[in-house]
Amino acid sequence: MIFVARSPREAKVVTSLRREHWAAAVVADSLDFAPRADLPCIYGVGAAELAPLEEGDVVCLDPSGDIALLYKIGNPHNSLLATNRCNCLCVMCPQRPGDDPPGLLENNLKLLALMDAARTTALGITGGEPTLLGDDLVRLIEACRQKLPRARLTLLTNARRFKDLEFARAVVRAGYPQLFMEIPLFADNDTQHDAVMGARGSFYDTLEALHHLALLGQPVGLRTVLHAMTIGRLVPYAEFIYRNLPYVFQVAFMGMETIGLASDNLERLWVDPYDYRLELAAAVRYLARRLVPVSIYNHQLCILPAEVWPYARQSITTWKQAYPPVCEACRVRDRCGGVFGTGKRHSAYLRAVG
Amino acid sequence: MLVGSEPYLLLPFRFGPFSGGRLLLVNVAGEYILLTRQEFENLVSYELSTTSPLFLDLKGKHFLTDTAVTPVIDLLATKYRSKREFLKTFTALHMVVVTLRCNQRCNYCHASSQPKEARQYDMSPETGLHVVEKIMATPSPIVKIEFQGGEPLLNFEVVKTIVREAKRLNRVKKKNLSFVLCTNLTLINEASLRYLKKEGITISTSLDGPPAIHDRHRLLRNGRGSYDIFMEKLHLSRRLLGHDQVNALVTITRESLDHLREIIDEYAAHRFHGVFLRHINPYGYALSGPFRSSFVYPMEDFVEAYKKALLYIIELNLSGVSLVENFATILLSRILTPFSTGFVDLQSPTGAGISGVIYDYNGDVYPCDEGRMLAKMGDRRFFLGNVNHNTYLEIFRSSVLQELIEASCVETLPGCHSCVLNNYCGADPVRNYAVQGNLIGHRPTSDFCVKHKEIITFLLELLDQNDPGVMDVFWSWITNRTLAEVRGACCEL
Amino acid sequence: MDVKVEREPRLVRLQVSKAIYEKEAVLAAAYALSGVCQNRIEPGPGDTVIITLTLLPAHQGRDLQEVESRFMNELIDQQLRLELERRYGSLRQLIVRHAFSPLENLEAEVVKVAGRK
Repeated sequence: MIFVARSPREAKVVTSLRREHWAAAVVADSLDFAPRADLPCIYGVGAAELAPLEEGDVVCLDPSGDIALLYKIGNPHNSLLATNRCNCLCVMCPQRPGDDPPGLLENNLKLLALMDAARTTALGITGGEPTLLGDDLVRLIEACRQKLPRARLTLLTNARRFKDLEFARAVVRAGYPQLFMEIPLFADNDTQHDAVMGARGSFYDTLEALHHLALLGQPVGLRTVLHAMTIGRLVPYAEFIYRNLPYVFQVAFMGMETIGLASDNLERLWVDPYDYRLELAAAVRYLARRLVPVSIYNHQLCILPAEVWPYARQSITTWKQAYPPVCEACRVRDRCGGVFGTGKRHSAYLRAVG
Repeated sequence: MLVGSEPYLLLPFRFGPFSGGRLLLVNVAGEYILLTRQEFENLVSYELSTTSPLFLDLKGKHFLTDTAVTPVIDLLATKYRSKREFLKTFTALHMVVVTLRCNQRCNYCHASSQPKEARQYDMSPETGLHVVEKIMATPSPIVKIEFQGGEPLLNFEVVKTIVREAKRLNRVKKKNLSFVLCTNLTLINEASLRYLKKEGITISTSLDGPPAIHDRHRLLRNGRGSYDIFMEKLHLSRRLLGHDQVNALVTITRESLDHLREIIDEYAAHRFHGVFLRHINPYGYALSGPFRSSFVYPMEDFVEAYKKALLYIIELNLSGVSLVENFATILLSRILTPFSTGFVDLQSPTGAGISGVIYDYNGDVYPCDEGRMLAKMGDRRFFLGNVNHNTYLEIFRSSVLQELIEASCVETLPGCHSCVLNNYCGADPVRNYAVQGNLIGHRPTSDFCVKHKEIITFLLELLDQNDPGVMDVFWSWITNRTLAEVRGACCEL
Repeated sequence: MDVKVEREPRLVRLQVSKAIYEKEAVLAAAYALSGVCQNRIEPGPGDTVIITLTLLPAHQGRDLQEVESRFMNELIDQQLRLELERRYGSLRQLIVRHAFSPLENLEAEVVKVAGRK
């Protein structure tokens, strides 16, 4: 947790901080300020960089002087990065898998301890593939639930490890009743799903896991990311879900964030969302008719047929959200989630809705 | 044992001819696909390319696999089980004939209803209590008790006795218990309605159409039509119970066939939730009386009229009038959803005795009303026992029931076992017996078979056209929502 | 030639090879037409069976040609059903068994009947 000192008066407060309350201070560049010896402190931060920070945020101060924002108080998009490791290698992974730094779990537990229980209503647990932590994931989820009783916990997982019914049971128990799982499913058949995941056998692993989770009463949502390898069979995909997994709480069709591997593979993956909008609409209507809750993530309203606007969500994390200049004159800008500010490519058909 | 040299493994399905020279294929979970003859031949001779869109369609629907087999068998088994969930609720529908007396004398049952003063045809309170005892012994977690007649309002005290006793026993049994009063409405009054309201009992009544049609066969004992008083009581019932607490059934006679639009308009005008277009059962007293020509007519005529009527109802829905056609809804649920759709009249094994059972006024138990009617005419073939003299097990383990089950599994019946539609259909051995002389029946001459084949195929044709408006209407029926809701009006999260 | 046809005013006689059409398929096809025709099935010369379809009195007006082609289509479909059932019938049984009483080792059972997992 940080304390932000923007003025001499606030700086004075910092000097009297007690250890158990404050982990770090970030101080504006104009201040002449001598901190307590045991209080990590970063000096001379420009006013512009300081502006988004507020009391209760958690930052990581790197000895190099970098400040990484780990937790934004009151924001619904906070998450814990459980691990960088993964048992798949999705062609469009926004975050290339890698090794974990030592002490990642402990750091996550520390970070968790610094979060504001009253103002945290949602927390993601992401990776990598969090289930690779095994029992440590059970610990982490339990800790989340204890620390944040008001938060909906969303675990992003390919669920393959839940083929092990006992492990699935342990995780489900640890998170109940706050835990929700978001699980990727990319096709109605193993050949295409496994190709996207870069892991043979993952389709049927995930399906078996889904049945275990259904058995355990665990609410799950499915998600697919739309690109050249997934848009070909969207209606059969929807049909497969309805016929085989009718108990899912949600199906999300996600626009691709063009960073990480998605950026590396952009030429073979990129399809302008405008070009698949009709297939997307058909799949959305297919599920909505059947009472399967369905959402469209990361798509701009101007490129979606109006009949599916009710299903489009403002899903882009606030600090990644951006609106290109063309959006300024748009009548539905407020209802639209915008684009990924981080993305390398956007639809060529963005326009202001009049 | 299969040799592993083929590029893919075929998984079980049934097939049959479909329009346009195509073939319909249905798998064990009821998922279907239409193929051209050429595509079908390629499929079964292992000549489909495993990367073609058609191959992936077939794979996604589990008609074949070129990779893992075990997980697909697992998925199919799960789907197969879900589709047959109705078997879990062994005997959920209990129909109780509390009296044979009726204040009406409708032409279709003129000989079976007894005059108002013939009290010997009332169920006694003691028999009523024995009926409840048997009902509540069912293993089914869901129990629906339907009071029938005659006119059950003429023996309302026994209705009340049964409701009181069932609720008392249910304090321990904790079943999902509901009650329906099947009444012609003409005798209902504020007092009886207040009672129904208090006990949470809904009403099922009969409306045959506009006055000219309704009054042709639905007559009071003095010979006058019942339409006017019916309407008056309908409004009273809705006012006191709530609009959606009253449903109605229509009996379609030969004369009605040419007037289904007017009948549908009548249902829509009075804002009924749905209409159930049923062919009149060709047995019982309807067969013998002077009105035989009204009640016995070719099934082909019904089917043609039904198809037109269904299209008309769809059109109405699209123009903003919401009205469900219940028969199509049941069949569409079977075709389009992964869920179980029990329907006593069309099930495999039969719903008679397994999903529903009927208790006559004197305590005699039959698997269905048709069995009871046969007994009235002297053939007690389907008599299961009597609640006053037999135990629950004696009644429900009766060899009659076992015979009915054996004779009603479409997987084994001649003519049904290889029928491509058998996943969506069912058997009615009691009807087979009544019409064709034995439980098994003879499909090539069965009008029950004609009806269901024709109507299911017609629905599949409509689905094949895949008109977005029609699909929205169908799904509004299946999911019990308004058209606007189906189209997303209420889905903002 | 797998089928020999003889036509008379009210009946058609078909002689088919038993090497191609099994008894079960012949019976099922004859059953399907039993609402329209009276059927007789008897052994023919060599490895054949003779099916005689005679229009029932109530169907005298029917086109025999249509009845004959309906029978042949039905026969071919029924024979194909038998062959398909030989390929996947045991999988069908396995699915039903597994549905109502889940098998401990499904994979082993699948290998037993399908030859692959």
